Amino acid sequence: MNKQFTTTLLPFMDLLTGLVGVMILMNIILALEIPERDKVEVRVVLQEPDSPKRETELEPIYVVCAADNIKIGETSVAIPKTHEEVKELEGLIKSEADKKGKSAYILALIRPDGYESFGKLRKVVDGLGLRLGYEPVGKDWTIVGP
Amino acid sequence: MIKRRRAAFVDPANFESFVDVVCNLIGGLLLVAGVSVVAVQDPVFEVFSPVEDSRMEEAVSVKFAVTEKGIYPLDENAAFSRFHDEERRKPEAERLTVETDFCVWVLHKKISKLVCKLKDRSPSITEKNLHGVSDAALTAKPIAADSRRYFAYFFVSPDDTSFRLFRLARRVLWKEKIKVGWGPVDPQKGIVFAGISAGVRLRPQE
Repeated sequence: MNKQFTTTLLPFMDLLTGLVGVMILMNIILALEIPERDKVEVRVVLQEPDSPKRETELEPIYVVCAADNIKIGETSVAIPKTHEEVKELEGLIKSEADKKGKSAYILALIRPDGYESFGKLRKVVDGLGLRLGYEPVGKDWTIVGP
Repeated sequence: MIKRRRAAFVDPANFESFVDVVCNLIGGLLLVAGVSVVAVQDPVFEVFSPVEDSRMEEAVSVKFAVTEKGIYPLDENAAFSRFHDEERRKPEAERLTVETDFCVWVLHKKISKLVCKLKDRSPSITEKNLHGVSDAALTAKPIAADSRRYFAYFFVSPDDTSFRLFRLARRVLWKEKIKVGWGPVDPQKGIVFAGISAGVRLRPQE
């Protein structure tokens, strides 16, 4: 018997074409994710290059001021409107400050829509006689901690 | 006569070059995907944790407004000297208005409140000429001569672009050893700054 073996590249082409399809899909998905770059992770640092040097070591209590709430650590409270709500916020801040001792200060990370909640926080912090620092942070930034 | 079916003739040379083209396409797509993956994986950014410098309670500030468009130096002294003239003309007026380069200033005499509303004009400082911030600060007040008494204060509009612009401008001033303070404001409502009566306390941060 005279058997003739012929090789064909067609199945290989099928594989390649399939791969091209998958790659195009992958690129489309990645391209759609790029505009979401604002959702960046942010770490808080005590010094930046050229920033003024502090004379004393302070320990920050992180507070995030957003449009409708104030987040202290893992606890989130609504923007205080009544006297009771102000007292609740005061209590929360005071208990956090007591944990850290005399070196504690409030570091407010202010979202673009959080200027109203920052105003309320400022009054409470001033009333408690604590030191305050504040820094603008992006709307979608995720604070990953110090 | 029955015709025998023949397999379509494939020119091996042409087919191989087609495979080459497809392989190159895959290589190109892989490259694009690789670049996209690197672009999507953002590094963790760092944000500064400042604290108000209460020792500078009595310090004088050079003021700026930051909006999406850019940075506007606010010449408070020019406004006050114009108010002085205005007051001589209208001693009984409860509300005086004067215009300077970038804003309209309104003084509510009875409640000692000074409000600044930005005019719809292009700012003199943008991201392209940020050094203008330190030039303006050093020209407006002798900060360089006594940085313990003077600092720069920014009224920053509440949006991501203004926040970013402020952080960049702050770095420029820090390099000049000028202390910086800031506060978020809504420029649509006007920038209110008239000391204690307006509930605004301007302090630098360190």
